[in-house]
Amino acid sequence: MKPLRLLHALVPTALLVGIVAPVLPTAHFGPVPGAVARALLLVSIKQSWAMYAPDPQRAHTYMELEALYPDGSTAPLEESVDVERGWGTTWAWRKTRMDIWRFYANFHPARRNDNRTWYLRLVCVREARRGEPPRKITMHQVKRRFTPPAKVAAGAPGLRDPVRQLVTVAYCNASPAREMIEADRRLNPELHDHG
Amino acid sequence: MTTAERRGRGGPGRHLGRIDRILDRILDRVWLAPEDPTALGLVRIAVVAVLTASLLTHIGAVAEYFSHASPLQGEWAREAFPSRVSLFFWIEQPWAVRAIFALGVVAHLLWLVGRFTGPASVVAWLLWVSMSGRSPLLYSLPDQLQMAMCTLLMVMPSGRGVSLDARRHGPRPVPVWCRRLLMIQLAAMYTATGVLKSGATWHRDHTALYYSLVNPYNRHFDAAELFAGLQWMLGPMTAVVVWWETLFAAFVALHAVRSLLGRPRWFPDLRWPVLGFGVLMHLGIQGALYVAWFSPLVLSVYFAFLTPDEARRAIARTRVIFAHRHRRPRSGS
Repeated sequence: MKPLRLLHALVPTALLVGIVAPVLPTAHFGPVPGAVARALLLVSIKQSWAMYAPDPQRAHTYMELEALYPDGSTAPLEESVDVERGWGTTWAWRKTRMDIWRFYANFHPARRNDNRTWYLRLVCVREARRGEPPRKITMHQVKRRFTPPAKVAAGAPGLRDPVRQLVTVAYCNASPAREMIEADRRLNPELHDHG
Repeated sequence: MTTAERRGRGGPGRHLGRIDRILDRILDRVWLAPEDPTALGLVRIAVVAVLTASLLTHIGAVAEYFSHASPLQGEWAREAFPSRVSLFFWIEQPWAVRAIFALGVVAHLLWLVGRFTGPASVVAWLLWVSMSGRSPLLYSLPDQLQMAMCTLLMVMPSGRGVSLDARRHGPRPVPVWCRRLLMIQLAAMYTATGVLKSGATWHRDHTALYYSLVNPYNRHFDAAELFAGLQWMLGPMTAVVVWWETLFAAFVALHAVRSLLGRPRWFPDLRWPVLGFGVLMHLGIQGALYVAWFSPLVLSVYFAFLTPDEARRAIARTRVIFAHRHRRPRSGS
């Protein structure tokens, strides 16, 4: 066999490993699937396919953010709009990619979630651009369960009553949110010009 | 020493030579045999069209998402997403990020029409890696398939057929592994998803489709009462969908065996029933739910199941239809 042909055959074989290895069960294949998956993640390739698995969502959750300002006043932040208006329908033109981040930030309300931590720091910077940065942001989650089809067929509403739960408090004057705001003022002074 | 002399020699050398020839033949049949590039060219056009459309939806938010105009920037962006690489971790000025994005759009268009396909595909891929790496939480599970397909097509000689490059240099054959890997990618996605759907809503209550359709996060229609009334139909459909997904890898394996055997008549061609169901399922998903570009992308990859002959016939038929439509107004005037 010519070495060039062998080399050529290695290309699809390596790609095949990249496609199949990450979806193999770790119980049988040990650390191999994880190692391949980590290597691929470097270039943002994920081969973990768990759409609507093990079950589709049976409840949906939105975040509700409230800012407390240094003068003691409070205000709901833009995320809270979903709690009021997010229970209808969704079409592409109403979605932004930030909705996806918010979705991830809602995961595991009782546990540490880095996606949430960074999202709330990002909100500190965003709010600082709009005026006085909040001293702290309180995050609640509002969850509504989906009613089983048998009950809906019997006349129950499709969504159950909302349940509100405290998730966390983020401090915008603590590190690193404070440094992020300072750096943003240096880099983007025009975005902090409150006129 | 001539080949005949070498063959004439006995001992392990002869056996090794035989094994070598058998391995070579297997590699040829499975991966390396050349084929007409038309089917792969069709996949390129369809997939890159979806990638381009998806890319264009970032317009207006490019600097906000990927430059230091983002509220999450600089060292903190790198700290938040340490397991990724991205050009935008190092190039952060909004104008530069926008310029790279614009270059990426041009690269997508060149890739789509198949001009300078190789370099264009690498630039397009680099842009997706950089966007996904810089802000991975802006991308969801359907976007994963975009990244996987972008990578596979970038590695393949996808511009050898149905392209401006082919018009210039003439069509050149592509290895069969290109289409086969695309099929395997779909098989991995469907079958892994099917196997992981182990919950009660898929296998006991068969309410999974109902719950998917009523989720306000991505439903197109607020019609829980209607869907609850249709549970007699959605229940069996739930079971069929999960089994269809789980068995997709078996279908691809059978399809590969059929191809390796030279598509004998006695071997049933399962593509039309299996992929036909897939087309209907994805059209249903697209109609009922917001799933970004997932359904168009998956259906684009279905072109990989066309043989080069079928792809050529499909293109010829499309040309006839277009030519006919183009001629009609002239004859009427």
